[in-house]
Amino acid sequence: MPIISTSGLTHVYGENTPFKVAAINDISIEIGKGEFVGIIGHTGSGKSTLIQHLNGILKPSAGKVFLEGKDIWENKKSVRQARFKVGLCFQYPEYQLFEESVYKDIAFGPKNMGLSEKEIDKRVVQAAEYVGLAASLLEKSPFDLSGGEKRRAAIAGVMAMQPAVLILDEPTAGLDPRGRDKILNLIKDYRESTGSTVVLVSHSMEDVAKYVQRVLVVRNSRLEMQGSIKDIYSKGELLKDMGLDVPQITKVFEILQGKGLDVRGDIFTLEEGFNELLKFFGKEVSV
Amino acid sequence: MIRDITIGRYFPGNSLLHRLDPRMKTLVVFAMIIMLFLCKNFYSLGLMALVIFILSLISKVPLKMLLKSLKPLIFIVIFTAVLNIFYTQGGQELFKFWIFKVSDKGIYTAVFMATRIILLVTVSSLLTYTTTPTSLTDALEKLMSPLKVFKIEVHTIAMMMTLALRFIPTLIEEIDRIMNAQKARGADWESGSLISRAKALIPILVPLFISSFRRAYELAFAMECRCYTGGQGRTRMKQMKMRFPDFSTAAFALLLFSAIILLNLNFVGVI
Amino acid sequence: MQDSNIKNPIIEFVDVSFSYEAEDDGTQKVLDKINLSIKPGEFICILGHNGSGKSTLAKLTNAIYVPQKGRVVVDGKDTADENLVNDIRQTVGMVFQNPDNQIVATIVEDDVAFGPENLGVAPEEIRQRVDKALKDVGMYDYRHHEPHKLSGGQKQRIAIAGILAMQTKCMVLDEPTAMLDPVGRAEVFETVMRLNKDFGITVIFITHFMEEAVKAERVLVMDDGKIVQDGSPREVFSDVQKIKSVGLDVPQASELCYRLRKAGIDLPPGMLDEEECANAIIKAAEDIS
Repeated sequence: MPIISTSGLTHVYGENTPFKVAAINDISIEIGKGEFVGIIGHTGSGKSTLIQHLNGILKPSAGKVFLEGKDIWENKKSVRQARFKVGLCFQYPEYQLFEESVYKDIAFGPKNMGLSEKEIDKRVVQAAEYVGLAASLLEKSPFDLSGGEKRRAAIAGVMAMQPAVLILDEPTAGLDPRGRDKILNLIKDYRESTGSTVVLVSHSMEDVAKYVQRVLVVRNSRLEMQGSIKDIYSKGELLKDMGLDVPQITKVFEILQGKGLDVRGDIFTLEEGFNELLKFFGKEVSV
Repeated sequence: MIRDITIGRYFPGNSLLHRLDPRMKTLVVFAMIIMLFLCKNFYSLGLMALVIFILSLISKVPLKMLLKSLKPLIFIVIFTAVLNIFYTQGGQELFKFWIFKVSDKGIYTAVFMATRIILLVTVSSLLTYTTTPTSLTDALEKLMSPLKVFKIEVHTIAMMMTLALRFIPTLIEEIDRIMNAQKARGADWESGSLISRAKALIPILVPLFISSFRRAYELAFAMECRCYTGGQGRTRMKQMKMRFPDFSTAAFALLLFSAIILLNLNFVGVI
Repeated sequence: MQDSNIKNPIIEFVDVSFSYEAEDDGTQKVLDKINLSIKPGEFICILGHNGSGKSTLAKLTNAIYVPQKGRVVVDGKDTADENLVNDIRQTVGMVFQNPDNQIVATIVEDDVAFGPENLGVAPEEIRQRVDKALKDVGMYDYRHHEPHKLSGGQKQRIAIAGILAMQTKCMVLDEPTAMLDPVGRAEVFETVMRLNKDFGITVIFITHFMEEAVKAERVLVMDDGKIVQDGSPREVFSDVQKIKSVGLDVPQASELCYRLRKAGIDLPPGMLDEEECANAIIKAAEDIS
């Protein structure tokens, strides 16, 4: 059974007004337990609207969202449960920090869940560890942290709810390369150590290729396609049409193949490309 | 929700009303608001209604948009009407229940008041729908410029108004975003006691203040970079010029004013 | 260089140091003895991780900050001279990261007019400048729109038009693409490239995106308040190790060639794009067989 699924999910903004627009239209998806799924799409394609349905922030105009097989809109309690079971980390999450200490801010979610002091403390410490925030930072004001630390503190605030599904909307937006790698790696480690399901919304085709197992492509408020990295990235023209581009390494191999070099064409990460060429040149492949 | 607020929204167009000098438009709308308060009977109010209706047609602002601007005020209109129905003394009693008496005069006053509020809102929204916020603040700056004599920083006030208008939509979006982010962490401001609900606003207000300060700081930098040093020595791209239609509008307003006074005298007949 | 018609630099940093006052009385050094000379018409990208001092450097170019030590000279004018501040800001315009926080007016064309209005330019001329600037950034059709309804890339182009209308010779853009999606990013970068080519406007473009930096004429890499690399993209991206050591990235093509070279395959350094990289690999393959 998938952990989250939607059927015919539709959301219309401004119903009963002349400005009525469908932000998402008839989207049916399934996300399996423990999967690492990527969502890509142009700004305004509807991907943000889609993910805000998965934890019940937005109520569908039509269609249903199922969490572990149960309709999340069944009753008031089930919606609230969905908020905690599906952790949603918005874009630029550091702008939601508000408490006087990092500790208290991370504890905000668990506190709303009505957990015991002891349990909250355990979760805060653990979440801080997941995101690599030193214990000494926990008593500081979140506003005294550096940009990257703020971002990680905010992500910890969602992780501390120990959601079964963690959804991150462009968690690396606006960061420098070092900050970006740090965050993506901690998400990967978090998933490996907790076994939770992770959904990553991203504009970076390189990052998606490097981390996720399956990709959903949203376009013009509909689910355009879904499949493995290979399935999706082989449709270069279509992606370009959507303002997305395959990674540079993929293009290198397309040219190589085009010029008759005997290499694979389905290369999507630097690592793959490097190993493929080592093999081609008859060198030892490093493991 | 909060996104639906339409007061202060500009509706692009090129009607006669759009082209009028914003200063004249502001003055005339102000005069018409005063006239609405001067109206004493349905003749004068009816004339105002007719004029405002014709102006709406000229503006080519869709009726739907005008009605939308009334939407947030429906409650006030109904509230005033109900209050007037029950509290107006005198007149002929139509029916009564419990301690309330409903008289013909009560109904008369209620309808009169409700119409007046609706006309007030419509005429002010006509101004904002047909005038860009920039020209509106420019007009106010010019109209208030005599106040400089009293050492009032007219330019600064106008600039503050422009920036406020500019940032209202941005802040509304921001509030939406913050609310959703805190909701995702289980924040709840829809249940519980009044105090706990007020407390639940802190997670929204703190980030909102912080981001507003950040915006203000960055905006100040950006304005400095574009050589902003206050009102002195500043020119404006859009020059305001009174033309024939503006003077005709002024004449028309005077005429309307006299008509209202005459109709108020009730010489046409008495209700 | 012995060139006789060598151009005077439009921006020059001479031994510039700058510190912020830290909370606990101390000061925090952000820039350390920077020497830099920028010629008119150059297209420069500045790279550096957050906190490397690149934003501060940007703010020193138009007298938002004034150096505590050393001098910044813009078009022959010292930024420390308070009487020249307006002249300097008319020479060097700035675009910031957050598109929302630099637009002052509620209508696109009114915003573009803001700069020239502050300078006291005559109304008819402002009109001409605004129309031209909006055409130059491809936003003329949006002149009556409300800025908050535009996309991030469009807002940044409005901000750029606002500077063009001031007729500045130089444009400093502080991570203008950081908050944009790939489409908006390309939109803004291509606009700036075009303005540099067509009108010879000097551009200083601060970014984290290497695909932008490879298209510049000159790349500066900053780390810890110092300029640690200064050269053509090819020169700078040849030294992959150095770039990585300051917390930055190189294009995948550069890194692939670099790693293959280390593995003993004969490839030239500093390959910038997929085309170059693929051709070099093909050549290496031919050499073996």
